[in-house]
Amino acid sequence: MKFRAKMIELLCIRQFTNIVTTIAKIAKMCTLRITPEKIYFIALDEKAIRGMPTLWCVLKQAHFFNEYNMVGVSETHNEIYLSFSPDMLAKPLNSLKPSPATKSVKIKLTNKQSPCLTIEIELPSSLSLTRQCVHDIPVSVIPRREWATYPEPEYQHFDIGARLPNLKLVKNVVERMKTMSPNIDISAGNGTFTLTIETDTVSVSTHFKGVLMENIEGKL
Amino acid sequence: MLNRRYDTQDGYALVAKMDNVKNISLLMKSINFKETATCFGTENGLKVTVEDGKSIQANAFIQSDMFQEFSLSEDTVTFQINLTVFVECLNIFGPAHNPGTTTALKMCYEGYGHPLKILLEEGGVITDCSLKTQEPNEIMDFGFTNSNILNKIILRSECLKEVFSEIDASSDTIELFLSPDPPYFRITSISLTVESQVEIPKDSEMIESFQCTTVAISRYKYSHIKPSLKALALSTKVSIRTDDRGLLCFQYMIKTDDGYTCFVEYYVSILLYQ
Repeated sequence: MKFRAKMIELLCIRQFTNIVTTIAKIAKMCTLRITPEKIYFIALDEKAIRGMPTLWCVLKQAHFFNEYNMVGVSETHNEIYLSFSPDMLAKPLNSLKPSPATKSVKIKLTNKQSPCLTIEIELPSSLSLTRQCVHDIPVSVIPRREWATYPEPEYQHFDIGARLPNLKLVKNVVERMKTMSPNIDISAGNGTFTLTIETDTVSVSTHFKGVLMENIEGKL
Repeated sequence: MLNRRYDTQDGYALVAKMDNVKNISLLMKSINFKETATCFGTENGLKVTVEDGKSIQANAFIQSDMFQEFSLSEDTVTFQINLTVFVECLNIFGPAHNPGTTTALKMCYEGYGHPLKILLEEGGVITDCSLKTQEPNEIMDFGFTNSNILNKIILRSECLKEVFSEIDASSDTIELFLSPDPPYFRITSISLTVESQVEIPKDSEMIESFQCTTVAISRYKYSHIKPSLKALALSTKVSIRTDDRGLLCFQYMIKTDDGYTCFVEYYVSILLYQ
């Protein structure tokens, strides 16, 4: 079992950091599935915080990593499953944020007393030397027999799908509504996507018009 | 859409429209030191009053010409609302993310016992809010009249912002000293451990007008003055007046992005008078 990947592009590092940070907010524990082509972040029902959404996130390794080597458990099962706390991964990645000059981020699977994901961050210094920062995140390797407990979630039959228009505006509206009410009603139909809250003092509804609606086959 | 919805203006005690909600959302936020506010509508515009106990009162004036449309069915309209929620509603679309897009506002109030209806529109997205109104509480009348005013200073706000930004946050008392003779105007902050004084001479370029008839020293609680600093931060000029009972009145002149001028008045009752 081997895993080693390296990111150089700043944009990729940022995007990867954002993804991991978001996952850290959703789930306390998360499964990292590594395959030759893709890496998956998985947080399913019982592993996620109660009442939180489940998460199935697929990243194409070629998009993020400049170097990527992995050897799975066996030739027939060329994959690795790890369980770790996404918060622990988010923290070292976030520590890069103030320094946009980060040269590279390496992620390795190592065995230091216990299995670890080792994050090696290379930072420039004002001298010609570079600084290196190493973080070890303890992980547990999920044995082959438990892999089947992480199936890709199946799409249930949806009645309607709405292509959300201006996500930033939706986010702003939801954030304001959040300060006023713990619950929010969502409805969609006839090209309108509506967010509503109802409290003792106020009822607020925001209507987004001209939203593309589709059924689950993606037909508009 | 905005027009179609509440086109029938008859039956509404108050209808007000504004092209850019930012003109009032900042103003409302600056006086939101308490949850409840009382709104008075007259032909001159809308006055929003917030009080805390019997010691402080803030009044924000939104002149009717700041509204593109402002109509009342009666001479006056009075209602009380939850200001915190009102501010959240006005900011529902968040800070302007695209320069050039503005949020339009329409407010309608049918009358006693009815909710305040707020319609907001930005880039085709519409929010309608129905904010419950409450029985208006009686507002204190501080009886601040021109004949009782002892001293009046008008100064540029930067000066006062600087003074208050340097005041020790643990201060509990602010003393104002006003006099027709030197040192003219002195602000003293007093805490358990520190006492600091700032003197502003009357010929300072920060002072636009200085009218003092008698020596007046009055003390105010810092926690009473602090809520007004938000309005101070928005303002360009401030007038400070005290009357013969030591009542302090700040009047902040605030220029909005669209070039309107509005005022926030802030009364603080005295702590000690010497």
